[in-house]
Amino acid sequence: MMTPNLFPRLTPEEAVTHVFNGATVAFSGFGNVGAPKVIPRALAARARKEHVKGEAFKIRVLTGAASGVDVDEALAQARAITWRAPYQSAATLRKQINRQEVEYLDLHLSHVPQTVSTGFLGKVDFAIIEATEITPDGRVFLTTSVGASPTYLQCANRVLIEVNHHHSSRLREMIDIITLSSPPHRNPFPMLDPMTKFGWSYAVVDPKKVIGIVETDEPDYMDPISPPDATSDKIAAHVIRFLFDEMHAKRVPEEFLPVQMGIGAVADGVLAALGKNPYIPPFKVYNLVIHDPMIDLMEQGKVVGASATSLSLSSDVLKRVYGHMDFFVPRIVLRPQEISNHPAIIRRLGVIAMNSAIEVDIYGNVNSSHIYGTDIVNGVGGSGEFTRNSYLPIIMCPSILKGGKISCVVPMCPHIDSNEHSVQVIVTDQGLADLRGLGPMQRAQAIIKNCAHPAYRDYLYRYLEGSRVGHIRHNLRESFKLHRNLMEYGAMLP
Amino acid sequence: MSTVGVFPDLSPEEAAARIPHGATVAFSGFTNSGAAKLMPRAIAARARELHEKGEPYRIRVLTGASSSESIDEPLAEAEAISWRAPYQSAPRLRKQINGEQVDYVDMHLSQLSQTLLAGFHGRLNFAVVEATEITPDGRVYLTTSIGASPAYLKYADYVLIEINNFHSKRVREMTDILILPPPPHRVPVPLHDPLTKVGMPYAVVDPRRIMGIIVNDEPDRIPEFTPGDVRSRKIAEHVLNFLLGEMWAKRIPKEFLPLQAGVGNVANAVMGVLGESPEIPPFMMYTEVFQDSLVELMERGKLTAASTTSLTLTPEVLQRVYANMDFFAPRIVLRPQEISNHAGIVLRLGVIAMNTALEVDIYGNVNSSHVFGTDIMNGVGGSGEFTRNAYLSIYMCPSIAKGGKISSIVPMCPHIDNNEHSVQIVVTEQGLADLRGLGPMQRARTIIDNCAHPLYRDYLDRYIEKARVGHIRHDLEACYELHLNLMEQGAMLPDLDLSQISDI
Repeated sequence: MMTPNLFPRLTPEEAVTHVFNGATVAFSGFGNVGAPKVIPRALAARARKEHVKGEAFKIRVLTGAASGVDVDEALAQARAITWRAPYQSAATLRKQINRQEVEYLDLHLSHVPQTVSTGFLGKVDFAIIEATEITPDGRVFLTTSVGASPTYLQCANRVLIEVNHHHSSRLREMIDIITLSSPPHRNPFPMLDPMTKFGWSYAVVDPKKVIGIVETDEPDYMDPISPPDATSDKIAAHVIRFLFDEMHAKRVPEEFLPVQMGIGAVADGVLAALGKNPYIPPFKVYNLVIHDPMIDLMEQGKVVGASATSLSLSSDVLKRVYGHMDFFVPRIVLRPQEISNHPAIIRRLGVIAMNSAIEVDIYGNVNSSHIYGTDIVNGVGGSGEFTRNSYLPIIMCPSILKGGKISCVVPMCPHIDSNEHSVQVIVTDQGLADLRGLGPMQRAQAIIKNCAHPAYRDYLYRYLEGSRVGHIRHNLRESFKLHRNLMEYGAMLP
Repeated sequence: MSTVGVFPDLSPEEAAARIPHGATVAFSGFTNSGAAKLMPRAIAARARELHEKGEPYRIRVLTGASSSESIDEPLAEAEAISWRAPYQSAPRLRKQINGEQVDYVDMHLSQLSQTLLAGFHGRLNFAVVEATEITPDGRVYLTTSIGASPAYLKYADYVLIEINNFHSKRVREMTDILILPPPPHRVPVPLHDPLTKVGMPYAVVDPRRIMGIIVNDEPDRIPEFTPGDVRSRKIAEHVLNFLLGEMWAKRIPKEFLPLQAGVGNVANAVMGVLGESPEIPPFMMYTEVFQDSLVELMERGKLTAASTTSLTLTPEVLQRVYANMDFFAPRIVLRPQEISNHAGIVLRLGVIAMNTALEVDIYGNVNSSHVFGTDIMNGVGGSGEFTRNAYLSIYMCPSIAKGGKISSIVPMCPHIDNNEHSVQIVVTEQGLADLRGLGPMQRARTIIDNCAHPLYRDYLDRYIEKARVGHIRHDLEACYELHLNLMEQGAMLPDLDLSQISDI
């Protein structure tokens, strides 16, 4: 269906004249894809112009999650962001957050739609959403990410649509959208399998709110995926052995369980290794993002279905998917992040969650967001909801970094995203610690012995011995000694 | 239906003799409600006897949640526990845990059944479950708590039933039990209201695994309330004002939302104040513990319905409920803790969660379990599942304790049960900090200004000023100075003049 003459066609420059200083603007975008492209750039240009004139121009920015170069980097470089939620992973913006120039609210991703629609974050003035099409009656067909866009379209006062002609209009066949009603009158959703669809292929907007549309055909930009290294191969080998043992002990059923996999080199390595292993049966994925290695595994028949909120693919791989939609459409579902990360569904499906960490402590608490407890890297993202509610939460990280200057196993984490009450398994290149059923001291022994690098084991044992006896031994004077050494001398044990 | 002649009648001593050293034993009980009563004492006696003979005797203990006087205290006193999960609140056991004599696994309560059925904790050798009746085909009608008993009955190798004749057989009219199948083939739990029933009024056990039954008529040992103090009352008033504000702003619907409230003085004061307020409409609760004060609210029509996993009522109040079952049975549902604390249902119903903390840091992280990050108090309990998934998650604590020697607002918590990503509101008697939409520095400002005691505000301000700049300012050298002072000098700030502080 075409949209002749219904919504005004605007240039990006015309579109951004509507946006005012101090506005809260919600952009589409999750996993660095599906974000608008030309409008944020025009907004950045406008901010620069206003700043040159000595005028204030900064906005409050919401997205689904990471929106990389298209939104965060462009706007941060123009110093146009004053407040940001719920997640970011852009170099310039990160610097501004850590210099306290930008206020950043690091949220559990499944909570974003509810938190916005209830008004907990104030009014949303504008939604700027990338779509393949908008119909005159306000059906919006999204592109490569669903994220929180359905909620933003519903809640925003005014809406700009960036129609992107680069994408296959068949994307809608993968999309399944519902927005939840507000409590207390909510029904369970009938989702029994990662592939269940129970919603619509489009989001809905009141056409009266649409200011206009801007057209483009620019593809998503994705950083190339780094190939697995020796560390991730070792981690992968430990994970596979563990999962295989769990199957053998019938704690993981023969048909396997849906898999969630974080992002980064380690996660990619583990996923690839799972795919190659002949003893792991073909499995389904219940995840936030679908990235390149999953498409390979799908073509090989090892991944039989995948649910996510974004199709975060490099342009070559996306082309491959668009070229074989008859094959991929029945195998991929894209959902709102409220559903892709929903605690109840993660729990119902019995997801095996595998996420990476910056560091873990000897008791199994995990820091996945803040270096020294202070400097934000990206954010908690979806790791909280998957780790907290999955059947088997597994946390993965290398035992050391920077040639041994940093140990990723520490006495105490200075920021805790997922805690010892949730984390069940920790894996490093050194080995795997199965924490299920263990009290704190047994956990510490298992983590130091199996996961810490040998160069740090003595230190960690001595920390335990020198600590105050209790349910969880700690020495509050020494608990961050390694971190302070690193800060002051450039190495945890100089 | 009588069970005479179907299952062997045992004395507690006979039954205890069959439980070997090293066994894993799961008892019914969520709080002292519905806890097995005779068996723990008999096992404790047996342990003492064997210890005197120089023989080892310790067991691994599971319950629904805390069952101090009934289970943990007698067993701990006899030094008969080697491992304990998922929660406890018994002074003697706590000492043994903190003395590293007992392994303790402090778990999210809703996850217990699933992890047990999955075999994550090894085999379960025995279940000891209190019931009002067991039928020859293995239907078990539980008493005042459901907890994890249905899972224990299903999974244990051997089962002992303590038939308790004190309880009304009509408790089953409140009981709604289902056991979730293993993943990945699960259907949604069709619960769309705190009162929806989705299961059966009984738990099920394979009759061949019943070792025997023990008969008993002892009531639950539920301690009397302590009356609320001035600080609790002030906290409650801040919470009331906040909730009214949210209603006016239409962020809480006119019909209100289901409430969850933790256990203790502050929670009681909040329920009392909400109950008295004419502006708060009659409401429902979706919670894990149903306490005395709620019975009165229900009788007055202010509390219209409650879902819980235990009826934690003093014997007199419980008798009042039993005497008026026609009124109470349709208004209360007792569920397994897997459902009463279920993440998905808490989220679906839009529960307003109100829990208490030991201490809160200036960024909104909450320590609810470990003093100095080291000494366990009770455990994380259900606070994690409610806080993490609630529509509004509220944390409450007095701003100071021990006459001002302790500030409950600290630069950094040495143990974190619920983190800044989940906690939305912090309340002390000083005031309320609404953290929604605020970045870390704004959160710190609000918590210090609104919640910290004036005596500690300067210190906290200076901490922030001196800390390393970043998304979350911290000084990893000074972040536990207050805790270290308290440990070494008996006060967080030993130089403060505390003469003006009355310890009310």
